[in-house]
Amino acid sequence: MEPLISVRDLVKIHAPGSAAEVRALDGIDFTIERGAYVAIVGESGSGKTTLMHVLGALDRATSGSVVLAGHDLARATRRELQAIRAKEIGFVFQGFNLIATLSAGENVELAARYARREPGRAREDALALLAEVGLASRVAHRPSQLSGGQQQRVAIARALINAPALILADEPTGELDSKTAQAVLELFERFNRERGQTIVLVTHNPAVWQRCDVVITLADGRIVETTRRRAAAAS
Amino acid sequence: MIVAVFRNLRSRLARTSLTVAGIAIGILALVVVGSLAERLQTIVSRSTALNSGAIFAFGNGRELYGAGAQARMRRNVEVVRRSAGVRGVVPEVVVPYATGFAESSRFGPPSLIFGFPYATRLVASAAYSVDRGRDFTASERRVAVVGADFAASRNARIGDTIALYGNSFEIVGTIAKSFTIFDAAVVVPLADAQALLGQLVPPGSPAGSTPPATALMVLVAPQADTALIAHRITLLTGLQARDPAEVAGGIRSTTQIFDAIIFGSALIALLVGAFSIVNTMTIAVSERTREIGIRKAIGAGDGDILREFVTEAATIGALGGLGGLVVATALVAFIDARSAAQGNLELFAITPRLAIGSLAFAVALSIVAGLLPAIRAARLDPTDALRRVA
Repeated sequence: MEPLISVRDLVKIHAPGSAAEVRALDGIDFTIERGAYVAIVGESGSGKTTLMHVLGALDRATSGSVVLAGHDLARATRRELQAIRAKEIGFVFQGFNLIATLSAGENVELAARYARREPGRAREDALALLAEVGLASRVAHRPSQLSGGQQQRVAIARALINAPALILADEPTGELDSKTAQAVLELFERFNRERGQTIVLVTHNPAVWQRCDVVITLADGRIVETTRRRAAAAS
Repeated sequence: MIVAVFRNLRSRLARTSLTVAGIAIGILALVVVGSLAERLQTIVSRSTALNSGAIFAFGNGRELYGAGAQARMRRNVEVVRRSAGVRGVVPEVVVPYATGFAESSRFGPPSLIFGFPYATRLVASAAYSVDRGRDFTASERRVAVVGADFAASRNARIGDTIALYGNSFEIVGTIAKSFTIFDAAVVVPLADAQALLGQLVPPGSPAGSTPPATALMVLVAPQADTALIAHRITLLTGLQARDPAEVAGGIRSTTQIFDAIIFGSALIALLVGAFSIVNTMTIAVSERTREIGIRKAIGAGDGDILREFVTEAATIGALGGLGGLVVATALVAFIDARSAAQGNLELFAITPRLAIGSLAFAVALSIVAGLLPAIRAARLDPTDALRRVA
């Protein structure tokens, strides 16, 4: 079966040709199968976030190829990248990154609107997802009226609303206490186990990556180790 | 989306309010001066219509009055009547309603007493129309119909008696508001007006010193060369005959210059408002860079971001436009009410085209002003935007 993500000889150079040039990713190769639960780990400055941005169609590789769900991200136009982000990828950020002026329900619906989903159906799905993450009674609440854990659960619902091929989570428990972090990780695991949702977490927290099937370790923009803990979902 | 736009604007209430106020002031200026121009336009077009199809020939005091005045005017009427292209000549008497400081200091057209032969009003039916009471008949004397402004400023009602040069006249009707000289006029039968004119001639003047008319309304054949006929009348009679087309052209060019000056001033005020929109939206884009990055990460296209920011700018414009329009409407209504109560001309007319046009202009200008910051927001690189978060 064709892998969900195929990365070949990926190089990303920031500010090429300038005095501030940084080779953030250097010759990255890996594939990720559908349904995998993967952690990308490494020290600060190892290239984790840059890799997440390239996998998430937010940034382009300097060279090499990245194929996501059949889309060649290196060749995609700006408009195609926007459509890929809307339909194939769900982001979960460390700082939750909800829109402050929108309610929990509207935050979730917003992603569906950008994916050009029918509004009535999008609302139904948003309510169902918020109920699934345990926030049925918080639909009308603004982010400022929710706890950190609740905000992150809204962000997870938002990431899932368009049934994306891939969920990318950047330090999703970074701003949560251990108990809340545990609950959020259990949520990820449940969606991975029950829905077969492919999830890639970017983290430096061992408590997080130790729960993943595959751990890809980066150092200075290169993969230094790939560890498989359960079924071989990544190679 | 509009709810979200209002929430965004409300989250920056002070800045939004100031920007809306800037636009409102611009629209206020535009509507006030625009309504002044609209009123002027109405007056000009009604007056032009009133003068069209007829040449008016006036004389000055020396030609009108004095020994032989009566015979002179009768001869003039005959000379004009025989001129090529002339269909008919109607004598008119126009005398001032009052003299003195109160009348000359009043803003607007002077109050005049018109005397028409009964038949004239049938020919020139567009001159005025009676909306309350009735017009007088051919056989009546010492009756009058009065203009709307004349009636309002003097609280004159049908059945009331007014004194003209010490003579009592009964008001039998009022003239519909027309924004012409008839709004401040008193119209009486020609014979009565001629008698009033006689009272203006100094005592002891020789018989026949009072002319039967102070002006001639010269009705011309359709397609006639009015300029040529007017020139000919002036040469033959010494009266000042005015070509209606030339008069209309003169008025038009004057009002065009006036329009350009007042609209130019209002546009400057509005442009200042537009710059405040550019400023507000630029700050908003800068403050919301993080949010733009998030929106792009969750799938927003350049068009989505552009639409959201342009809608915000348009909403600011619409709010400012509405605010300016409401304040302007109240302001001109207040000024007009005071002006009318003092017997002066109503200065302003907020027409539907002015109201809708001003509002549309405020929104359009705001969209244009908001476009540049919106494009900047739409073109933001999502990774740069998200990196600024960190």
